[in-house]
Amino acid sequence: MRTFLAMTAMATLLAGTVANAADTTLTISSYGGVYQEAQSKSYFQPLMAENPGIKIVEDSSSSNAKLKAMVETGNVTLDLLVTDDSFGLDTDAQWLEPIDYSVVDKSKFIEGAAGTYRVAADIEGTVLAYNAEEFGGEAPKGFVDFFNTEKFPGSRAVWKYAASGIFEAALIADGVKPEDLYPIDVERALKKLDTIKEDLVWWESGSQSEQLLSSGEASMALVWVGRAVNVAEKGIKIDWTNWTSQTGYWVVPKGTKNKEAAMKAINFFTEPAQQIAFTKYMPYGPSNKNALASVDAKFKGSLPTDHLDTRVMMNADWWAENGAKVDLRFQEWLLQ
Amino acid sequence: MNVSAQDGGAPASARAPWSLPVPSAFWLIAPAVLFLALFFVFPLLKLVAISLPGGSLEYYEQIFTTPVFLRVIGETFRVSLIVTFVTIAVAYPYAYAMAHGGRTVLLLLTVALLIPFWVSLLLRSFSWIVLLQNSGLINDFLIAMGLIEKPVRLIRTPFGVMIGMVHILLPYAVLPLYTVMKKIDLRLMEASSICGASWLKGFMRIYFPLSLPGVAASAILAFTLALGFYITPALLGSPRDMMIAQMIAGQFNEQLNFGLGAALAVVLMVLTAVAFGLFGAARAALQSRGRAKGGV
Repeated sequence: MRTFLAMTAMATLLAGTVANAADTTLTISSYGGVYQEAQSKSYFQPLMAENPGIKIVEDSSSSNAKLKAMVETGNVTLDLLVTDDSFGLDTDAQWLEPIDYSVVDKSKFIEGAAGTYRVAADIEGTVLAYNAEEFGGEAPKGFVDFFNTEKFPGSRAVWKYAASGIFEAALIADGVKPEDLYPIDVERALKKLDTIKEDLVWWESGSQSEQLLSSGEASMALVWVGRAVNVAEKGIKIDWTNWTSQTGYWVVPKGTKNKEAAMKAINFFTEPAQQIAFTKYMPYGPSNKNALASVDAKFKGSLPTDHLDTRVMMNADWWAENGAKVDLRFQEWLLQ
Repeated sequence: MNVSAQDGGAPASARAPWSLPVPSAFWLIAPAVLFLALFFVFPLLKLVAISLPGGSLEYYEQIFTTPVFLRVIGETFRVSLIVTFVTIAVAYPYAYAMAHGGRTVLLLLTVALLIPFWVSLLLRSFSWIVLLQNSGLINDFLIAMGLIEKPVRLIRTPFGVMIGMVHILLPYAVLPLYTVMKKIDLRLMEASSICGASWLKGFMRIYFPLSLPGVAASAILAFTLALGFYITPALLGSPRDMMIAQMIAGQFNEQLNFGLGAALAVVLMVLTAVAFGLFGAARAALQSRGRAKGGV
């Protein structure tokens, strides 16, 4: 046992020496795949090139559950993570460091992008995607047509997640104005969903949503914009009449040893040059208002930030407070 | 040592000088016990602790008073039972052919059984999507043959879950059956036919009872594995076919409610242990009955 302990101590010492080659090692966890590759090319590598003292180690896939468990066990191995709308709110204060706005410039962000514990990394969206061949040249317009199975027959693919925007979509299709959505009338939304329940197909991963659209299994879907753009070649189009907000955020776990470097990194990643570079690889818009006008031409027109006027803002605080209850009701409805 | 001397083996003094004394059983299992204690028992106790915040039973109360949870637990057991039954029904003749079909058949069937076994579970479930979806191979074929006009819904149905789960569980059911069947002396069947019994009667009175320990072992394995299925029902089933593992994952990953998720996991574990115990008791009863009969 003693030898074992000695060996562990030595291994730790050795690991320490290696880490010292760079002054600071930042471990960043993102969602993997093309998304993280894009972040690596436009955020991580430029940061290392400009700051030789900082080494970025990438990790994936980022998970709110993992972050929570990591902070609760006091073994914080990640310095910076990407998260979604459901996390990083004031109710999650016990697991996160507040964003240091003396390091991060708060004034550069678009509205709603700079929170107490999170800063928007990119502006995403859940959009109505449809198979252009299905409807003989007719294009669905907004959530109303998503619920109109007479005019637009076929299966509808939706994320099996209460806070995916499906409740908002149902209510808007039922005539509720976007500004009157909250508090969500859960029963009214479910009643509206009942009208297309037999045509609903649920997806649980981004790749599954792509597969449902590209195979022709679903004629319409509510999917993450990046996934819709991925299958554009297969004749899948996006209707921007209504779409629900979705955002990627940077958060810093409570208790990280590299808090200051993490804050500096957040500020660097959200500068116009980096955010514009990001739009070369992903159809997600910048959260920096000074980058909005000069996005790369590649996805121009398919970026959520090109359609901010029709965005339906999801109320993350309402969902944080009521999500668990609504989820149970949603599961119960699914089983019926 | 006495035994080996009686058998005509080498006496103890002639033992090769390099052979070590056999360590006691405790030291042999110590690494495994330590490993399990550290990486299984300890985390499991942690899980139980998380499900009881401050000794409060609130999460368990919530589970047993919320219809959704009870329904999903019930559904999990119902689906697992049916899947176990179907799996055994498919595995039984398969194992029979492996045990008594000769060497070529055995080789072919083993390869056919084990190759998919080595492919990842996720990949196999996705392969079923390719086959079963509306624009999948089976529907395309049936339409091309003119047998159906519109695609039949095969995926996202209880049938989809069933076929996916049975496929994955098949090797677990076949192998215990095969080992038991291989040991059954087929001369007993010959003897019964000499005595005038038909094949069916011989099978029902002799072969089947002798193969029951294999059936029991397969059923326990298939059933307990089925209870914990997660990916397959998620990919091949409809939301109505939700199983408890999906609900546990939802509580951990989406709701970040570790307490409720842990309590659900503990409930699944306890119910599985109960089912396991019942199966074990039934199996023991069966064996003692078999011995009593054999003694007569």
